[in-house]
Amino acid sequence: MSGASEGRILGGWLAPHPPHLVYAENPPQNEPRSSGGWEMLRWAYDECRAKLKAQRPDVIIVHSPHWQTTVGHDVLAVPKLQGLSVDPIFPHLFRYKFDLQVDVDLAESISEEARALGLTSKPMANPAFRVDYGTITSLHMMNPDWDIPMVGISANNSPYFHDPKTAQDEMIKLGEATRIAIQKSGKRAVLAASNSLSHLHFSAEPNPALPEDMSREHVFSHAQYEWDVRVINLLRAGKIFELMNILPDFMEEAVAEVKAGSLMWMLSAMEFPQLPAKLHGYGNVIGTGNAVMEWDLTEMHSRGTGSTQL
Amino acid sequence: MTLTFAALVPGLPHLLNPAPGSGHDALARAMAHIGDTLEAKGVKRILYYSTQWLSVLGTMVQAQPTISGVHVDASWHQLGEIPFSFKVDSAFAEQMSAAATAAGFRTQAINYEGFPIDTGTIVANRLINRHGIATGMISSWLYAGYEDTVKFGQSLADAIAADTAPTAVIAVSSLSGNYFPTDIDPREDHISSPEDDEWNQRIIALMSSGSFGAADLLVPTYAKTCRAEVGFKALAFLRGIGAAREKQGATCLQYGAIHGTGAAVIQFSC
Repeated sequence: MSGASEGRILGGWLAPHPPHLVYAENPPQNEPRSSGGWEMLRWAYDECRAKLKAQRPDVIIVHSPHWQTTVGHDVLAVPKLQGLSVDPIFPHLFRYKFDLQVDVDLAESISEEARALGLTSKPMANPAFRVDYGTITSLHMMNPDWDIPMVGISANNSPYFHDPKTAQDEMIKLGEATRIAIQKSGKRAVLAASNSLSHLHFSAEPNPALPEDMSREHVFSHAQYEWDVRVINLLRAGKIFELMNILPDFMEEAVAEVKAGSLMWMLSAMEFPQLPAKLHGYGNVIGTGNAVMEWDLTEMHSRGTGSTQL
Repeated sequence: MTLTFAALVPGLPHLLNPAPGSGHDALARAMAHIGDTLEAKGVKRILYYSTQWLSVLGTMVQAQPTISGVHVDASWHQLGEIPFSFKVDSAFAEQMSAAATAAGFRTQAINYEGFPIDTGTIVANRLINRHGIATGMISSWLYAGYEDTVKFGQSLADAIAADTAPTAVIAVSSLSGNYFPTDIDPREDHISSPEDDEWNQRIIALMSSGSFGAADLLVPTYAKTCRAEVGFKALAFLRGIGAAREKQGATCLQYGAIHGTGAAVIQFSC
């Protein structure tokens, strides 16, 4: 805790969650063993880990496309969540014993602020809940010591139910609610948008006998690669408005996982910073496009550059 | 031929502790009734095909011999914990996997402690299988179209026919998938639009008259118009496996709504 001063967001990370990254690292929590792989993304996460060690945030807040909720934008709100998370798609790669500390006060506050802004939201208060692999993978890759409390936010199904604008408007409100709750909490928070970029993927593992066979890993298509580069370039240039304009096409043409709302939530919480994002690494996992990117709001504040309300 | 019984049922957790005054209780009782019926028919194995178990890298077949635990639904977590216990016919799972693979479908029998069992299968098993009949579970491959799913079902029909255990096939799926995006009073639950209701009843009527070919033709429009769950591939699976045969009308035991979506308990003639 930082005392009675107003809380703030230190920064945000685009923190993709392919379980392959955990598998490749061989942490003790994950049962399957590997010989490595996907180093470009894992090395990128090393920089995130170092940054978090230096910053020592009070909390990491993650929005995960793999905790899908039909009604509402729900928030993990149990002090301690433990269990075994097995990825239903890649069970041979990800069987992870998780042990999470949740910042329940902040979680409940985010949910309350979301409701105040007209969203449907409720705290998830069941201790038997099994945390999704997206949340776990992003948090593990960012902070494998698990020594920073977390808040997990669900991906409401609205992007797949409403028109894109309505759905992303909800994510913008959710970001506002998150920011208000952080400010009221007095805490220093880091945000994580747990999503890939382009999301078309191979329908079979290229080499089932060796999932980490990097000679068989590549982007699904050149068109996807071009989309990823276009989006990354806009983010690196801090051209948030231009990004907003092309997001619907990106979602449609590259089946981009940003459709789940994680990136929009994070950008909104950070007040759409006109700040060049730092690319730490890009890589493909079973054909999808993944970037580890950082928005360091402490740099923005020290430089006096601004943010924008949409 | 050992396909002895087949049904289409909903799989949302509202059915396990029906809210007083809601229509969920009637759906749950209809599912319990089909459990009684299949037991009376001597069923020794229940196969679940749930469109809530989505797989990406081909089809998965559950092969872990015993599975138990406590489940909390990702969406409906406020409805509480759902204890579950399955006895899985793992040998038959391997047979199904081999049959589907031989027919050209990428299929794997999986056996992992802690593998998440989908809510639909758990709910259906709780209501239908009250005396521990052996089970099987088959995923819904996301990238299989309607016709592919029919063919996939056909590949399993041979495995069932070659086996002596009287078998029930239970497809777990909603009908129309348009839910209410906010919390509702369960006592006021209803199909989310008259158009969805009309479509659901049209499809049920076709199934009831045994006009499955006509239903097949309408499914693409139905799925698009009403967001029928996962393209209503549950019917494709039932068609392929030989449960939904032309001119053999099904019986709709109950039709209702669960949070705006369409739900029906339909028994097929086997």
